[in-house]
Amino acid sequence: MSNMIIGRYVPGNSIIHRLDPRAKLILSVSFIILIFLANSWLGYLILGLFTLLAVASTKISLAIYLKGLKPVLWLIVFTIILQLFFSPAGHVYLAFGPFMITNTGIINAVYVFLRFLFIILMSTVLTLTTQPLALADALEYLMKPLLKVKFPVYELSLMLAIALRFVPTLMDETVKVMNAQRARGVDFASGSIVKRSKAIVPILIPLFVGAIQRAIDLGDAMEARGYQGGENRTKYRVLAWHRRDSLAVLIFIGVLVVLIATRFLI
Amino acid sequence: MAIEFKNVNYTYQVGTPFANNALTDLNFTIKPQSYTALIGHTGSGKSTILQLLDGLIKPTTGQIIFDEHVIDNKTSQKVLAKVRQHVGIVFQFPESQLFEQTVLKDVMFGPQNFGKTAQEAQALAEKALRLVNLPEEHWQKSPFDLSGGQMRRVAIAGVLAIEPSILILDEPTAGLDPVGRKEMMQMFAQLQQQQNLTIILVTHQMEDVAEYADDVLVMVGGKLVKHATPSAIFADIAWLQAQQLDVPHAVLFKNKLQAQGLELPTSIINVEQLAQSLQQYLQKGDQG
Repeated sequence: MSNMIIGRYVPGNSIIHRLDPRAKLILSVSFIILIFLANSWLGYLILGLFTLLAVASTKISLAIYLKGLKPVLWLIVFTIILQLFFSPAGHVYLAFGPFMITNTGIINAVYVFLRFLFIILMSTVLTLTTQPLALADALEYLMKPLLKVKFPVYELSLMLAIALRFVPTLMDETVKVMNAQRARGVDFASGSIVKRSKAIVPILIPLFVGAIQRAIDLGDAMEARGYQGGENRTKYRVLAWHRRDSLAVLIFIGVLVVLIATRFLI
Repeated sequence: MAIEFKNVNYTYQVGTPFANNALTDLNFTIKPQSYTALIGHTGSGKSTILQLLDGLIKPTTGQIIFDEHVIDNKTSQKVLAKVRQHVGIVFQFPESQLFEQTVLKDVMFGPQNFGKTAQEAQALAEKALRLVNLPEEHWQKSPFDLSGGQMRRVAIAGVLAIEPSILILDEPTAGLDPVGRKEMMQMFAQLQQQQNLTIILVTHQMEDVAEYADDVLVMVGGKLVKHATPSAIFADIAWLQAQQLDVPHAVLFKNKLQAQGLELPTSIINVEQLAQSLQQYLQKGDQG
């Protein structure tokens, strides 16, 4: 569990670290949409260069990014294989029964691989360089327009901030309970599926009970400190939009324009 | 069961950017049937040692020897499970490990995992519940209906029911009231005497160390800096304070008396010893 890289923040002081979380959030979401706009080698080349630029400017070692790819490796391989063997269109190189390897199949497989790679790298850039609480703040800000349709923005962002805060605590708690049950002879690593799922119960129940108890305590503590709801609160962490954020958006728009040009003009 | 640590190192998340060296070159032996206290500042590696002792993690390098079992980095889970059967560990706030519908079932859980039949497990569970002094009227209740102190007793019974020969206690009295604290510590001391247990106690309560332990390991920053008897450890107050550790009140009081000119043996570390020496001192004074 401690090997998971997704959702992990690596402290640093690179230009990407210092970007406004709102800018980073919008840009990475837009980037994922942007990826599907590319349909040529040139398009993918531009996207690849942009991704590499972003990764390089975080000044975090490439090894960490590669570790982030590991958990989804099987998904990537699976999709590539599907694309490779089940694309009936185009020039056929090899065929056996329903499987065939064609030139479109190969091209599609490479495209799918690149898409996965870019999406994962970019979202890793976001999570590695942004503190979870800053992300929650950014989300709250971006959801503000939804207040007009009576969407509970403050409540949702409070829940999000609390959830993020308690992820590591609950992880620690899970490890602790697991260790305690292993010490009492529970074996999580062997046996049939039924046996293994039964071994989960002694972890889940203590975790739920602990979480409920924690929620009650936290609610009491918040009320005792005068929390009455989200409206009319002032903020301690104020997000500030700098020139570098506008610059990042401009670079992104530049990439967008070039990409559209490659798609429709060339 | 004797335990020997030979050049043990442990690093968390080896081979990642988050690698974190927790223990460096540990060498020590815990004698069978001894009562060893493991003390040190927060983050000195005590909890890592506990997990190593119970086979929950394996040393990155070096060996841990439990009689005939040798644990190193390549030891299989099966061997670890065998060792685990002889080691009971009471984690901090152990009440958070309860999950069964009734107290009795929860205590039976450990023995059943280690291959005991339901009847055998029930007999062991009842014995353990009596040991921790939990009234029989609570045995069929849900563990979540009990008070915090009672839940702690049930959790400890769950560990004792495995009948370990090594009992590891990680701050077993944290968060208890003074009476509960004393009862529990006395229960462990009694168990050690009656069942020839080896006890390893992790604590910040120096009074407990002075009262019960016969051997002390002091950890600083992942290294073992001192391994000696409690009286040897508490003889050097300046050193202890430099390690941000407490000194028992009896020792401080004895030092004050000594400063006033009373001749008392330096080996005094707990209240009982101090009271005895004072009595002897006064009697001598009467005669002379």
